[in-house]
Amino acid sequence: LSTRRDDEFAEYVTSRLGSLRRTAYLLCQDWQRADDLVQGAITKLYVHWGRARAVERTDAYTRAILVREFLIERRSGWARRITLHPGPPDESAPVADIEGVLDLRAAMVTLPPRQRATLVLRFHCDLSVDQAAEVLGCSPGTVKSQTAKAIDSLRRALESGESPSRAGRRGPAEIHGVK
Amino acid sequence: MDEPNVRCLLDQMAQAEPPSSRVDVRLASRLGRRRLRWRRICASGASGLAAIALAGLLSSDLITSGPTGAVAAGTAKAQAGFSPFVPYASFGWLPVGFTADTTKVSPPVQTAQSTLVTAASMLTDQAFLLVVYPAGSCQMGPWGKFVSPMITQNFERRHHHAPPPYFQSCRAFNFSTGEGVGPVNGQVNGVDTYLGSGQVHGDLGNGGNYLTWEYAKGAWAQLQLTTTSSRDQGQDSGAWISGSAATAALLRVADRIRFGEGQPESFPFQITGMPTNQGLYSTSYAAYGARTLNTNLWLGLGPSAPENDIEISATPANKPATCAFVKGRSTRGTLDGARFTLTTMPVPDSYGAAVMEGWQQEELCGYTDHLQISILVAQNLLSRQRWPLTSAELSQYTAVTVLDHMMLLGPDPANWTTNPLG
Repeated sequence: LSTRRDDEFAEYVTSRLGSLRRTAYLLCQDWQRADDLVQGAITKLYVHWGRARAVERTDAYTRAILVREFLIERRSGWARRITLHPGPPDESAPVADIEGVLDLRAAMVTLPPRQRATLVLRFHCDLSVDQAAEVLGCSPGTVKSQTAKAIDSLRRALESGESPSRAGRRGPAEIHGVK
Repeated sequence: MDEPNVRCLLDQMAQAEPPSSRVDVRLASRLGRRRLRWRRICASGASGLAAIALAGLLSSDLITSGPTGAVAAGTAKAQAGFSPFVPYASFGWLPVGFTADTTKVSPPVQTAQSTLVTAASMLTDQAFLLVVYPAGSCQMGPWGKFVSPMITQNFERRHHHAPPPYFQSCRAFNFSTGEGVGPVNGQVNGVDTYLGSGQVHGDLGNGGNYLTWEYAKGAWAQLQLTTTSSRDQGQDSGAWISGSAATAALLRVADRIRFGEGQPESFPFQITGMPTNQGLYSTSYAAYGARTLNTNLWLGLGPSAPENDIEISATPANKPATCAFVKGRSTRGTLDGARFTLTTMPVPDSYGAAVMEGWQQEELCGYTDHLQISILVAQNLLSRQRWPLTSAELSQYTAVTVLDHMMLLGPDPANWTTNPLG
């Protein structure tokens, strides 16, 4: 039974790994942390695998674990309080990026984790307001207000040109025609 | 910017070429299985790494007598578990030359499941070792075995097979069913006692006679008179206790042991607000020196990490001690002003022979607020092998998490707390 459970679990996770990593990356904007996030989430998924595989939407169940793992981690405010001596350079991932994406990435980092999670769930995972509310454990009204605030914050951040990656380059509005 | 724009930009961001994955599906299965096993154990009512830690120290090989049936219980009030921060038992009387010294043999070790206190002779190499169990944790089995169902379960959880016979009992001796059963070697508070010989504590002492008795209903204690050195210094002196005098001394010391009258221990730190998935669930401490200038606190994390045994030590110090820095395995950092060095090392298996694949031991050495801090995490399984660590990665280390949640109370014992877990 255990072997069968493990096989099913491994097969499912392997098939969804790319998608989970991308979602995690959008949430935390760092591939190393994204992998840690996914690792923690799939470990929890294993514990609840009996329930997860029985539900109609296993993907949604898994995504909810991932997002909650991210929100729990971010609550500690760790990144603001710890420094390293000497600070090692973060490994840069081989990303084929464009300036607009860099701008958005820099702006996304400034968003509170809950707003960031709302955007990812709504516009990357294509969840409805109700579905996003279920994952985040809040009301649909809160999801709507968080979405509006997040978009507004992004707009202001991108228009003000404060994001470091934007210096000396064109803004996303010029690239993508957004206002 | 509107919703379609955000969607478009997120899609582009997600399409970026990711670096190779560090996610390990087999590792997740392995850790998940451990958690499941732990949940089942918790559900069946068994818990406590501290008990198994103490059990690991106990070994013995010989018993000369045992019980024939039910014995009367002592007059002390039975407790199902001890407070890990209040020493449960202490010596009320010791032979001349003996003192409840905390450095010569061992500091007292208090857990929720057991108490260890020692007293050493200043004149000879002899010492008393007292181990006390709460009610129900150890009992005389139907075949004369002094057994602990909880320790058996914990062993199985860790090693995935039944414990060997020497490990199966609370103090790891068997009352032989066919020989020497019956003689009672004295009474303590009107309760029959049983005399054995062998080694009660594997790391402490070189064996000797010991008493076992039921100090309260369903609760047992053991007292051993042992030697602390193979040279047996002082054996020829008049202060050396042996033969019938040793039995008499054991009976008298046991008769005066105080149960449940200890004062709460003080700690120079308080741990609060640990993440909910890392709730501290099991504690014990060892205290060094008079009113403890050096206190070790052993903790375990909750179901999310059942294997993480943590040892915390905080000692007043005027200047920081040198922390070892191992290139490729150490990272230096500062957390809210506390400078620290985090080092990870491979973990040997229980027998010290092979290295456990993927397991690491975390060692955090730090200094702040005139306290030298040491946090050891005995076993932790982490997916990354890349050094040096980033600041975000550091937060994944249990030792750093513990430091993050430690409120330090300075070097003055007057400011310390008797409630280190907040």
